[in-house]
Amino acid sequence: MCESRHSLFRIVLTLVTLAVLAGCTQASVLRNKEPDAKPSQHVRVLLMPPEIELAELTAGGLVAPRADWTEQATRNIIEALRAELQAKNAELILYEPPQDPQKRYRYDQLIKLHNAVREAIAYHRNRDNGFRLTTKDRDDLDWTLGADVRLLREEFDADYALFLSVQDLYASGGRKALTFMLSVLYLFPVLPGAGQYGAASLVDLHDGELEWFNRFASQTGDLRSPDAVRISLENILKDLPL
Amino acid sequence: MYKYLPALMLTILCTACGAPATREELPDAVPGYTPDKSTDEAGLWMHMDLMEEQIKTSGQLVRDPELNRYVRDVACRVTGPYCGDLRVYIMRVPHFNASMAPNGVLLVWTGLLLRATNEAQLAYVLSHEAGHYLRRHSLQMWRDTERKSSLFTVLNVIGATIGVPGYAYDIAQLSAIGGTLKFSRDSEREADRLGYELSTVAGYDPRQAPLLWEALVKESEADDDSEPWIFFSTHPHTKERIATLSKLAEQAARNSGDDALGEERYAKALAPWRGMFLRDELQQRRFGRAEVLLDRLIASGRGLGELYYYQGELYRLRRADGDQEKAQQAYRQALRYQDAPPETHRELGAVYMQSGAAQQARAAFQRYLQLRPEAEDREMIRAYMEQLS
Repeated sequence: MCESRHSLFRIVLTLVTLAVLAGCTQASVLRNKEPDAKPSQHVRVLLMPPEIELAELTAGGLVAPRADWTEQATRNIIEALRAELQAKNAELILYEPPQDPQKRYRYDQLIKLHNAVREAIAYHRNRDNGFRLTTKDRDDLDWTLGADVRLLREEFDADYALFLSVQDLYASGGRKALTFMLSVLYLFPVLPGAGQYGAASLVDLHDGELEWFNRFASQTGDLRSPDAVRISLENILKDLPL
Repeated sequence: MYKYLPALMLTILCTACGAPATREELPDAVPGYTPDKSTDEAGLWMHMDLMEEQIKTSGQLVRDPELNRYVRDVACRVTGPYCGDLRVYIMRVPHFNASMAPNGVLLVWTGLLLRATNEAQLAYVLSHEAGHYLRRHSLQMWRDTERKSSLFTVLNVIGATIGVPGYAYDIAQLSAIGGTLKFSRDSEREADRLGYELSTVAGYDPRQAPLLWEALVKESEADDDSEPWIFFSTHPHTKERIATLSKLAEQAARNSGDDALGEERYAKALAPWRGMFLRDELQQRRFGRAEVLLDRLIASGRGLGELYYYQGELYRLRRADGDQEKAQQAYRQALRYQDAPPETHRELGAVYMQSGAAQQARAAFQRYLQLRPEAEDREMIRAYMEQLS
């Protein structure tokens, strides 16, 4: 009798731990230590094509992309972002690929350059993996995309470019059941592995410097719901210098 | 009772796992098809749309409008009403491959364009890939993988609970992987048949497909990397494919029109590119297969000046015993034809120089500078010539 009560206690403890861990949210922000002054009171922020993908995590651990959720989430994020920036006296502009193939090629290459820089920052800064660059201050953000970004400034009349990449996983019913079963069996919290992961960065289009960079992760949130997106966005845009 | 429940479940699941995988048969995609947004298929398409954006900006993409138009026209000729659903991208990758994504992205590697010797062979490969699209093989495969991986996870959880020895899982997992690969080979067989049908109906000589595979087998046999283990290969064993395709080809009456091979058109479209593709091939330093490939292209008798030049390059780069003589022979052979690149003189000059034939070396270098007065390496060649005098 006594023993079974003890087990019950452990199960409850497990579930509590599970609940606590499930609420885990992280934002790892880097800011340029010598930011340029804001060009004006009212700034225009160009949202580069956001890389958003929502997917379902199947029982077997396969990531099954969902087109309908992704569409909904993209709409929600853009609307919430617009409102959020408006509150900071900033205007959101959406990137439209130009018709001219030459221009398009150049802009595409700028986007790819940014993505390469983003990977480099994530790799060299955000991990204690021994790959820290001795030329880069751990707490500073001194990366630039170069002067060519002025092309974007001129085309869209924008002061900053905002890049956003989010992968958002939702555990399927089967996966939730399975991990719950495991947690109970091992008396240890086993998480389904769902959550939001991604990176956001703000580039000054006057000189190409990255002003702000955030790698975020969250076990909670639902980008499919317009209300919940606002909460997620707080984490995504943490300490945005606007 | 509870004690036996997991064991019971495991037994049931294991039986399901071991049963031969039945393929979920899907209706063919119709022209202009797009999946409903809420389906798993739409998810796959969306994912591939993102990949397509990467392909469009890739440094490996061959953007030349002429070559793209040519390959696309062949694809359209064999796929007819589906032409509008396919988007062809030529990627500069020096290996034989083409692939089809569920959303209609058809990737063609330059190593394939180098190895096909006529339009009928290209048409066959494109038809094969279109077959994957029509039959929605990616979706079939995805659903099969999803089902098996979920089953496995459940098995693992139950097994961990009741303590089944680890090797039991290795065996079960191996059988499931084998099942998935068999599934993939079945899809390939189906695409082979469809590819054969589509290209034959479009008027191409059906006997070209087995010829192409035969050539690939010879190359792969000469290659330093051996063929993959059959059990784990996703494609049916190539020899088996040749047999099947030859049989299919015999069954069909030969289309005797001039268009059945499209050799002339193919050679014309590829002519500006073949040199680059051959350079890419030699850069792999897989000389065994490159030697077989060059012999075959030379036997086809088109653009011999260029081909002998690259044969010379192969021997120059390989540097095995006797290769210097072979290189010299190949360069000299190349110069018998009008289309030998001017660089042939330079390389021949270098070979002569190494073997101490100063006068011949000077003459060859001289000729090179005459043909390429603006060559980037002209000063270096002049320095060689001074050294030789």
